[in-house]
Amino acid sequence: MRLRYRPSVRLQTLKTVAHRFSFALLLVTALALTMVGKVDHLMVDAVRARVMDVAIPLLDGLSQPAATIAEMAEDVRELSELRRANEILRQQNLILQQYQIAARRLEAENLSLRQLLNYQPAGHYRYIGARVVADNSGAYVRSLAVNVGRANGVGNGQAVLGGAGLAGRIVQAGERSARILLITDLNARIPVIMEASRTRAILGGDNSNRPRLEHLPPETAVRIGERIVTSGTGGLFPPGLPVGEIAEVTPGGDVRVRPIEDLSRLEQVRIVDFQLSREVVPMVATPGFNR
Amino acid sequence: MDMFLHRLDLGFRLAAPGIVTVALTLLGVVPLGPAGWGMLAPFLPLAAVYYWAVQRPAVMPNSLVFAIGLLHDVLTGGLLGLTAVLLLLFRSTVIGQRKFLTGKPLFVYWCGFVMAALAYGAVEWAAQSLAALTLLPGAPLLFRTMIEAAVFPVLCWVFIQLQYSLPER
Repeated sequence: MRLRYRPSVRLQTLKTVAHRFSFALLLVTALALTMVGKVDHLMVDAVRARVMDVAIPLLDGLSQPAATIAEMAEDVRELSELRRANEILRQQNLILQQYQIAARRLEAENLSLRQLLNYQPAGHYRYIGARVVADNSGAYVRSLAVNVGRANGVGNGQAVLGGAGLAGRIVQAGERSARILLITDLNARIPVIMEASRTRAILGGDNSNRPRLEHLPPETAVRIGERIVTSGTGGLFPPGLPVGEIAEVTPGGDVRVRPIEDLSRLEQVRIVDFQLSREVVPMVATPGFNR
Repeated sequence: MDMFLHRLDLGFRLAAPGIVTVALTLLGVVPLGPAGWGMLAPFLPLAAVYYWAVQRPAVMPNSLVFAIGLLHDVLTGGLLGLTAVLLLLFRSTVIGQRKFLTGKPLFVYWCGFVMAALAYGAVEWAAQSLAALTLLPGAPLLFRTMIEAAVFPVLCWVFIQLQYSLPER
């Protein structure tokens, strides 16, 4: 009886030891990974991108019904406001038509002035449309994932636009997926310029909804409501992309910016392939621009 | 052939809790909720790890918990490995309280989860703050934990159904 009992006991202890060991081993591995992630960003990002490529079709499928339901709800809501919306749109259209006339005139003037100065145009950017399939914002991360990647021409560092202006930039481009770091994220730093006063600054996210203007020259006159656009410094973003407007100056002296884009409602985005224009200047006609 | 099907069936039943937990991890990053949901989206696998750590630790071994933590880190773009570390510690802590929690009414079980989730949130806050070298606001994690506590009974019901289909140990 005792003889038969013993091996099973030994097996049990062996199992327990293996179990304990696995816990310690996994814990140490995980800790080591955090260190590696802190030190070697590139390698970790490459691994992340691989995993995202696999997960994106799944997420795409899961987000599809959710988006459909949200759209249907939106449709019903819009239907009830159709008349009013139509009236507003008609008025806006009138105003925009006037703007268009002004824009055409300025365009012609601009073109003739450029010809006078023999100015090299900055080129045109290629836009890549993408659908947001995952909102991977956590408590301490502000990021989104989209269903396009290197196969579509997306690369690290490219600017991401919503309907109105800058939303973030690509930080991790996989083959068929990419991760966007929103401008509100703790790690986001964007060179910007105040549109009217031409003061340069850095827009730094801190995970709140209103990123902060940093490195402002001392005694800068800050006007609430002034528009903030990208400055193009550093060559990462094209200059002049609308980012937001100054929302408030806190008692502590922080200048807070309200992003022009509602970052919590992004469903479709455009990725700007800016790098392309550095190499060649393709003469692509943009709508309304007669060369 | 019958034997093969039987084993396949058994394998599926044993794998079901793991598969569901992976699905919950994926579901956690899908933009399902209203605007701004991402910041408050509950960390659903926490409930799964808690439930199985108390009821049947064998179906949710350390290796699976580790993998789920890594998957979550990759998907959210957070510090790689951090969630794995936290989940492993969470599981071992809950297993330490197993004797106390087994056989208790659902309410006690739920309270246990709320406390464990709060502790998890506090440790995560400390770790994230350390990683960012700044004091991060704790409110988002507190809200998240409240939502986690609210959805726990629903998830619990799903896990109980899964547990019924598990073979006797």
